[in-house]
Amino acid sequence: MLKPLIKPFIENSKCYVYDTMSNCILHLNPKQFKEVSALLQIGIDAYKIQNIDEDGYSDIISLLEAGFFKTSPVTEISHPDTEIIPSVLSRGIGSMTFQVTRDCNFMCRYCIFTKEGTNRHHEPVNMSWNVAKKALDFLYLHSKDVNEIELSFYGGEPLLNFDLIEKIVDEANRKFIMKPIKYSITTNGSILNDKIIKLFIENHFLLTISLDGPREIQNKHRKFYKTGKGTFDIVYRNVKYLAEIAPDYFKRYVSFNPVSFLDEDQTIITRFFKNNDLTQGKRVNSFANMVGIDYLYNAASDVFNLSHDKRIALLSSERFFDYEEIFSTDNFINRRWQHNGVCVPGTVRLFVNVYGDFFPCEKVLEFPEFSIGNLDSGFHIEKITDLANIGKLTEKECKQCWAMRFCSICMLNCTNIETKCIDSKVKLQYCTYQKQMILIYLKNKVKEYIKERIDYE
Amino acid sequence: MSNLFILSNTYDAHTFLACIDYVLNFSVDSVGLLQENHHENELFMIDHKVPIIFYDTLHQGISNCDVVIVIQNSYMAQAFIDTVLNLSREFEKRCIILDNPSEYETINMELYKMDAAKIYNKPFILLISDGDYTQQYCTEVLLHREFNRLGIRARFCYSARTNYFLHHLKKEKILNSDIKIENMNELLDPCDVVVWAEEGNFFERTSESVNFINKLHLLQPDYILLNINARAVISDGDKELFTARYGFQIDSILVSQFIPVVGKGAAAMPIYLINTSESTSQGNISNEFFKCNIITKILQRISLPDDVFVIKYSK
Repeated sequence: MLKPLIKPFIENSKCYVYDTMSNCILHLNPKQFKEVSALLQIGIDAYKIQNIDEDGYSDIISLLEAGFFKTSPVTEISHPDTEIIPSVLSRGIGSMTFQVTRDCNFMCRYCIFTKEGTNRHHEPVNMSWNVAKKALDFLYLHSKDVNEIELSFYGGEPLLNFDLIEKIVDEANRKFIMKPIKYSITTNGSILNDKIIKLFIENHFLLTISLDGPREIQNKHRKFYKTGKGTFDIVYRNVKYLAEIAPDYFKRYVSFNPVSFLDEDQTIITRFFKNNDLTQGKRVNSFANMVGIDYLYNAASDVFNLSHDKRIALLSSERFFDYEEIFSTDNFINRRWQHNGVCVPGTVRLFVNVYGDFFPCEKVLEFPEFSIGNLDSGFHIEKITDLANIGKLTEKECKQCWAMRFCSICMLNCTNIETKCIDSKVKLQYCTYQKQMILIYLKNKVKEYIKERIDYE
Repeated sequence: MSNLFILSNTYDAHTFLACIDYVLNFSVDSVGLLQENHHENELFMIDHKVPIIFYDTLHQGISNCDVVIVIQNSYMAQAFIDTVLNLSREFEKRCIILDNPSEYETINMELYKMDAAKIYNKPFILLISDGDYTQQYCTEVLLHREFNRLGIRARFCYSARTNYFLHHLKKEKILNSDIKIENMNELLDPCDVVVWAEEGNFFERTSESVNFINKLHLLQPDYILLNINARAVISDGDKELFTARYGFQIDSILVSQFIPVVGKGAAAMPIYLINTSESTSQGNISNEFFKCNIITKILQRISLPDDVFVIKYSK
């Protein structure tokens, strides 16, 4: 049965349908809407042969003839770069994240490093210079076709192993003669001395400081590991110092990452960042309950049971700005298709842990099952290919999904922590949630359109 | 005789090195490249007698060469270029900085090309490309070299990027004098064949492709050669569509050594493919056998027995 790829919905008592293939929203009257629902139920062929003498029916037939309500052309779910994965891995790796240490001087509410069973926990283990050098050599060999290199440093708290960072920067600057290098680091901001600041300025480090908000919120979520005391005063003092001694660098290269919990009053956090001279315009937000970041999966309210208002709040976060671009772009949906969000693991931000094992990025849990290779044996091409083709887990559902343009599921959203594997059930659960968010987005677009029309009239 | 040291990204190096011994007005002894951007197993479209040497450092490369050529791109830092210039001065080597033809925005060359192409009753070869990283420059200079070698007088209307690049080489006084780019003078020279090169997306329906229809009917090509990147797939259906749309068929397809891969920030990055799949109807641009085959086909199409000439309708 050929069914159209559409999503009917009601907003403010009016009827609409999102048409996937034409990537537009149609407003319908109630009769037409009823017919669309029938069309969806019985399929295009059965609908056409009914030949009912009614306005709603003939309108839908007209829309079908005009090219709306097409069926999905997708016959195969696979990553478009599947055949060239070996070539891309061989020459197209431009970004590497070094886990320079697993140690940390903080203990944060959401941090997955403090959670047992996730294969990440604080321990005083540092990456050795031998591993770091091998990693740089590996990157040098596999980055022939990239135009620039990106090196990031991760932890625990990466500045606890600053000496290694310094050595890596020296070696990278010596090795890469032509390609410019972009350095970046996220730090809790508790260790920012003159030596560190000098290296950051000289190498134009993009510096992200984790700061959750005003004192009471920062101290609630981020405490010193050893003493259990709040961290706001030290972090803020360091931030002020940095801004004073290097104002140009601070202005251009420093930003803040507050990890927000939805059980906090977001207006307090927003007001803090907006009204503070140091942080104004420098906020990059993350939500703690967003699946896929290295945060506890149940750190805040269950994301699947969020209220409508909380979902709207989530929608306004940066993560969903991609929907706007997708809605404004008319990409052709090919017979061979896979949803957005799935990279070729290792090619966007290859993560090297303290031991020299490779992971797709720093957000992936360090289970051996998710390792995509190591410095000694190189990439595991077969595993990478499987992970790149994660759409195949739910091939049947994906081929007929009205949200296929907007979907941004990646392997992080399919991870079952208990079984330590990629799980189609987890994927489908996240899929349901994502479709709900996409629908909220589409309803918002309708509201915007109506408001614009009213303003215009 | 000169030892070159070329500083560029992988795509530009491979493209520029095609027929370099012909394009430049001096013979090339060896070519040095930075190890940072290349593997020894890459295939370069250069005479196999010219060795390619890979250097780890600028110091090694510049001290061992006679001429340094830098092909800029938007990622290349000014600090790097300054370092190259300083080292070149220190070692007293000539250093030539060229703009990147891949990043050059096309200018309106219509008037010049239409004038230059107004040669009636001459065979007309059309070179087109579809998409990015097609290495069309290689095809244009290859044809020039082959026609020159065979003693065939060819008038070339290069693509905008190739023309711009060749102008740069001429400005630096290193362009082979057989490669004519002085447009106005060329109009008066007699020729045996016209080669017209165009870049664009001819399989999409754009104003560009609509204008192209008009041009094609005016120019009446005898042979059409399409350049594509290694990701593009031109099916029999696509070829039929082209014929239906433009009235002419694609005779040969040359596939570049590169495949564009969307990287960070949605900018496409060309990845060099060591193994490329080939069929009888299209071949890799580095395949010497296939290229010779195309030249033979072109010549078979455009050359006529003695005393035979063609009368075409013209307005």
